[in-house]
Amino acid sequence: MAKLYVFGIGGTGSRVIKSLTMLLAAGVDMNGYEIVPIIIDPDIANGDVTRTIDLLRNYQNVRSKLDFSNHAENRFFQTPIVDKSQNFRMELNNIKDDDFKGYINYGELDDNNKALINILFSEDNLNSDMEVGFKGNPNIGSVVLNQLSESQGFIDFADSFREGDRIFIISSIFGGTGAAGFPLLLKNLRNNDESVTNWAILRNAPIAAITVLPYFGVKTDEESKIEKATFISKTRAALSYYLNSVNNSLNYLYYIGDHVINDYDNHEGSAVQRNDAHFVEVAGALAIVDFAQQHQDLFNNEDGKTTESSYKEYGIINDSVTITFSDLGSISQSLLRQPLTQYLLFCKYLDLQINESLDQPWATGTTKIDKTFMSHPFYNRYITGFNKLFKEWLSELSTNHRAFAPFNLDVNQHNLFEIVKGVKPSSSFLEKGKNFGRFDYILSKKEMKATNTSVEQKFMDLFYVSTKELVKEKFKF
Amino acid sequence: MVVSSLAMMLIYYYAIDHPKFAKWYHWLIWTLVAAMLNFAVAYLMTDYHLEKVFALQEQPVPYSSEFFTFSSINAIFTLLFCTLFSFLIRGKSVMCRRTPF
Repeated sequence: MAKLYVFGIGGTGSRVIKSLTMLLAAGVDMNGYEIVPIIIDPDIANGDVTRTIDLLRNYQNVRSKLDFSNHAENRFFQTPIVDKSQNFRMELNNIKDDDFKGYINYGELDDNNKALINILFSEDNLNSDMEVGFKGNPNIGSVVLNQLSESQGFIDFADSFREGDRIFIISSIFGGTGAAGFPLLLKNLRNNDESVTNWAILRNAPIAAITVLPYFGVKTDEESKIEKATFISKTRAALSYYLNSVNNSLNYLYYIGDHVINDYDNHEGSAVQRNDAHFVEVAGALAIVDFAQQHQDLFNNEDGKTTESSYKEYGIINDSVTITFSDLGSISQSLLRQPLTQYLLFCKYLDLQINESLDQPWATGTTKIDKTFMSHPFYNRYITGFNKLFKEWLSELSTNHRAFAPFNLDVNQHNLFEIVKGVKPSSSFLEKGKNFGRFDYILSKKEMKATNTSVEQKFMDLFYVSTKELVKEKFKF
Repeated sequence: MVVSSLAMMLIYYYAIDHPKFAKWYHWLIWTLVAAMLNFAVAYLMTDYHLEKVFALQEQPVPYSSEFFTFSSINAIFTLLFCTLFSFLIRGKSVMCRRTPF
């Protein structure tokens, strides 16, 4: 199976990968690719990175119990997510216990070089410790991240790269790590360093990137080196650099940003840097989906350059402060509506109804879904754990500014099908059951055609096909 | 009685077949209703026909305890046939295929 390597650089990179993982869990199609996430972030304890890695592990744990051969019906978690590096991260060396001055061996430089360094970097820059990253200083990042091609993570990645694989790079343009890391990574991929395994395949591989323009701010904090006021100037500087150095190396370059209408707490990094999910990150994930769908014939690369780059910018139909499905373009709607609604209905059933329905026909067949099954790790930890993160993600999206709130997240057993905002659920006088009763009816109907399989497979097959039918019946998605 | 028992169970398992009416006690209520219906039909039909005979003789209709016994046996057989038909026909019902057990 061909692989799509997704490099997530910095906090934004991790958050887009998180959104992508949620979409993959809901069954969004990646055109048969295996996804290989690789996170590049020097901030080892970064809250966003940690959350994303936990989510990726959970995804793998769920998927490991499922079968996706032709006769299986479930498409939740259908896309494989593979770890080709150390815990989905590309490790960076010699930055944890050193400041920038120590990293560049400033003390051992001669006077001329010191003078040059003093022109390029401020005293603050030189004394900056890098334990939590580059704190919005891409000039520091561009020096430190030069070690990328020598890191074990890069070597392992290059070893595993094959003809037919693709690469996608996610970065923000207004931070420190992403702005520096993206052009460096691209340079390392496209250069002709024959010491890199598979260098000839790599330099002509299809590569796309999304560069995320400012979409949030940070509160003013005198103790932090990060200032919202510098985001736009950094963006301009980076874009003018990309104009000449990046554009003809990429097959696709995606842009996305938003008016800055929300200021997060100002944390330089570490575990407290944990930003709420934002719709820009979801749209960033859609760029990856779009790239995976592009036909191979569209990529014409030679000697590390592309003959034709394409540029895409994301937009929505209505400039709403609170986005629902009807505010999105038709392609976004077709990609998001059905899978997200299906998976949310699945979550709701497990939260509110499953304990009451273990005596229903769908749960009492040859392969029983009972309290024993619910006590196994597959259900008790992996599925339940993943669903909790999924609901948190939707909740964060719905309360951010700008909000992505296509669902009424607090529906209950009396109004389950009012779950999609702006869509009146259809119903018929003759239909059997209301709300979860209807859900049970569809589950029981589908169970009659279930094949003999493992209990985990049966469980996911049943819920996938039932939620698919319900979404079609009620919302016409 | 046999036909009406079969008809009642077909209605329960395939026409009603509802998530809110699929527990064992719903089935029990339904079979008791079937039994009571057959009891009533048996009693009333027998009474009606005998009324016509004894009206000509200007006598009250006798055998009321025999009507009651006849109708009760009809009801008991209805319960038995309903149970038998339940196990024979329920396999393709969506919600009730494991009802009553």
